[in-house]
Amino acid sequence: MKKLYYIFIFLFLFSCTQDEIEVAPQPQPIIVSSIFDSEQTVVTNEMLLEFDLPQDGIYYLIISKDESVVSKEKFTGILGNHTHTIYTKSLLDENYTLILQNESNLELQKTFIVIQK
Amino acid sequence: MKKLFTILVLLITTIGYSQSGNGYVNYKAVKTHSGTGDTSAYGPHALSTADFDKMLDTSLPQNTLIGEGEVDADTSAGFAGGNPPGVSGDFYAVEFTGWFFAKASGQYTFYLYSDDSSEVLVNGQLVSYSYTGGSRRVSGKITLEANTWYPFKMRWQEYTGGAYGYLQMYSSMFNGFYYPGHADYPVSNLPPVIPLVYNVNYNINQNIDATTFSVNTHYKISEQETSQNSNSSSKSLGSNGSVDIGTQIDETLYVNGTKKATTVGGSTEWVIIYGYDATNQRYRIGIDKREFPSGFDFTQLTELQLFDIYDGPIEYKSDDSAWAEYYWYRDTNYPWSTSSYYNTYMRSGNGFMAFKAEVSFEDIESIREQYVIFNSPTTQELETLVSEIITVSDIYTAFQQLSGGGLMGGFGDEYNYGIQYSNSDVNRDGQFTDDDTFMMLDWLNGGSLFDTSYLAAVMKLIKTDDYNSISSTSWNNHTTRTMYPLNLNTTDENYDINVSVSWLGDVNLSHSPTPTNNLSVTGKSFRPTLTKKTEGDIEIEFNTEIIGENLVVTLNLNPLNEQVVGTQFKINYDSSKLTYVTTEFTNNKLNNFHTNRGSFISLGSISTDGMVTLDSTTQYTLTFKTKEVKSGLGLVSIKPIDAVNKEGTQLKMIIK
Repeated sequence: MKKLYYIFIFLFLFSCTQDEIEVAPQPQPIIVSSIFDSEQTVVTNEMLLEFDLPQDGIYYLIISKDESVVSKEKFTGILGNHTHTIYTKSLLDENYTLILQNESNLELQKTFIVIQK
Repeated sequence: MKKLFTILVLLITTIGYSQSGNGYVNYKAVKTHSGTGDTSAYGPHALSTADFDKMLDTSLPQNTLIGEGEVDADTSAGFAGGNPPGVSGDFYAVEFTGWFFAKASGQYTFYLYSDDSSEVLVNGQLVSYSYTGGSRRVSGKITLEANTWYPFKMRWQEYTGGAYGYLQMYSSMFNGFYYPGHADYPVSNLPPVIPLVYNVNYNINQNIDATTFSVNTHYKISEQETSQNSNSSSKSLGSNGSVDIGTQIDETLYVNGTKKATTVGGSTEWVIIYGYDATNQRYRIGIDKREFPSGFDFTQLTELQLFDIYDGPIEYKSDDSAWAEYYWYRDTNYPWSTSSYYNTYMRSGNGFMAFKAEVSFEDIESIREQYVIFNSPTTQELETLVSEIITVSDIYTAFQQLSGGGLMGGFGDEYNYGIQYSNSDVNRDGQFTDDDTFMMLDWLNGGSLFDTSYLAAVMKLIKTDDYNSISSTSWNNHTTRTMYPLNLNTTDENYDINVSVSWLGDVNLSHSPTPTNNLSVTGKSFRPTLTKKTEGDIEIEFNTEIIGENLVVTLNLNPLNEQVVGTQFKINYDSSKLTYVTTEFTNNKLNNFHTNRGSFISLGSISTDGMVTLDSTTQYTLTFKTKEVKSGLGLVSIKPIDAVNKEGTQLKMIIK
C-alpha cells in the first residue's frame, strides 16, 4: 500500500511536466584571421581563412605537399580583406603548404597548415 | 562450526599449494645402504652420477623412500644445509630438483660443501661434484643465457659421520655468494611456461603500408569454413610486415576423428603383413576385422604401433568381409628377426609374417588445423588500395606481353618473373589470354567483370621460397587468398615463416615484392628491366573553379619529351558537398576512362597498342554539381596514380 502511495505521488509530480526540447546550437564557423601571418595553423573542415588581397583580380589558393599540388582553386578577389572557406574531407590528415598566387602564378603569401578532419 | 572447519581446511590447503613455484625446489630423500651400511648394490660413497642414480632408485631393495615434497630453497631444509624433512641418522641420499633462472648472460659458479659425496647438474651438464667420503668444498662454472630457465638438480649423500650438503652460487654480474633461491639466483619447482612464438614475416612491397593490415588466427571447421580462435584478437603487422601470432594460437589437443591401433603380444594371429613391395616401397598390413569395435570406420585408422617394430602413420587401402588393409610405407624391407617379439609372437609364413597381437584402438589427439587470416579492410580502404595497385601501366604491360610483336605490335617479352603471368590471369582460369586484358580494361572503365570487392579476391599469399622460383610455365597454381596455413605440431615452440604478398592484377609488380630469381633462371629470355624514373617526366596543370552551381576541375597534360600512352589519376572529392556529373576528354582516339568510386573518381587514358600518344592538347575536364558551398578550396584533391610511356616505363608525374 505504501508503494502504491509513492507511485501515485511520483505520477502526480511528473506526469504533467512540460517536455523540454533541447535545440542544438548551430556550430559557428571558426575564423582564422590573417592566416598567412601564422607560421603554422591547424585547419578543420569549413574553417574560414582571412587574408588580405593587394588588388582586384584573379588569384589561386593552392594546397601543396612536397612541391606537388594537391588542391587548387582559382577565384576572383577584390582589394582588401578576403575570407575563404576551406574544405578538408578530400584531404588526408597531414601537413601541407598553403600558397596564395596571383594570376601570373607569382607566389604572394605562404604558410603551413595541418589538416585535422 | 562445520562451515568454519571447511573454510579452515580450504585455507590450509590453499596456503599449502600456494608455496609451489618461485623460491621452492622439490626434494626426494631415500634411505640407502639398506639402512645398515650394506654395500652390495653400490659403494659407501657415490663416485659418479650413476652411483647417485642407484642410491636414489627406490626400485632397488636396498633403498627406501623416506621423504618427498618441496622446500624453501634458501633455508637449511634446502641448499643451506641440505636437510629436508625426514632425513636423520646415517645412510641416506637427498636429491633437490627444480629450474634455475639466469637473470643475466655470463658465467655462474656453483659451490658445493658436503659430507659425504655431492654433485650439481645444470641443464643436464655436470657442473660441480665431490665424489668422496668426508667433508669437501668444490666448485664448477657454467655459462648461461640471460632470461632463460634451466633445469637443475643437486644431490648429496650421507654414509656415516658428518652430514650436510650446501650449495651456493656466485656470479660477477651480482654481488656476494648466495644460496639458490636468493633474488639474484631465482629458482622454481614449477616447469617454466614457454610462450609460443610464431613469427609470420609478410614480405610486402614498400609502396604498401604494412601497418594498415591486421590478422587473426582461425581454426578449420570444414573445407569451406573456419572460425576465429577464442583466444585470438587482432594483431597489426609491423612496418616490416612481421607479426608474432603466438598468443592467437590454440595449442589445445583435440580429438580429430582419427584412430591409432596399438598392439600387445597375444595368442591369436590377428595381424598379418605381406611381403615387401619394393616397387612402391611399402608393406600391406591386414588386421582381422573381428579385432575392431562394432561400427568402426576403417578409413579413420591412420596410425599403428606394432610391437617394437613400428609406431607411425599408415594409409587405408581397402577392407573386405574379413580384413581391413593398410599400407605402411618404408624405404627397405624390415629385418623381422631383430624384434624382441620375433620368437614368441611372430611367425613367418608363405609370403607373409603373422603376428599374435591383441589390437586396441584409441582416439588420436592433435592441435587443430589453423590459419592466420588477414582482417578485411573497409570497402573504401580496399577500393583505394586496389585503384593504386592495378593501374594503366599494368594493363599496358599486359597488352604488350600478350600481343607479342604481332599485328598489334608490342614486345612479347615484357615479363621478367613468373608471378607476373600469375597476376595477369585475372579471371583465374589458369591461362593468360585476351579475356584477362579485356577484364582489366573493363575494370579500368568501372566495369564489374574483375571483382575486386573483397580482399581475398585480389591478395595472393605465397611461401617466399616458392614465390622466388615461379617460372613462366608453372605459375598457375597460385590463387588469391588471405589465409595461410600454420602447420603446427606438438613439439615446436618457436616458428618463423616467410610469406610473400602479391596482388592479382599487379602485372608490373609495382606493389609486390621483386622475386629474387628472374625468368632467365628458367631459360626464358626477357627484355631488360625498365626502372621507374624518379625525376618529373611529365607535368599536369591542375585547377578547380566554381562556375555557377558547378565546380569545374581541369587537368592539362604536358608530356615534355615523353611519348605518353597511359595516364591515371585519382580525384578525391567531398561527397557531402559535390555530386559528380561527368568528365570530358579532348583526345578521343584512345581509351579514356572515368569511374566514380564513391569518394573518388578514377580517370585517365590508355592506348593499349601504344599507337596513340597523349600530347599537350590532352585535357580532362570534370564537372561536379555543388551543394551550399562558398568556395572550392579542398573540395577536391588530386593524386597522380600512374603514367606510362610507349616503352612501358612508368613515369613520374608532377602536379602544378
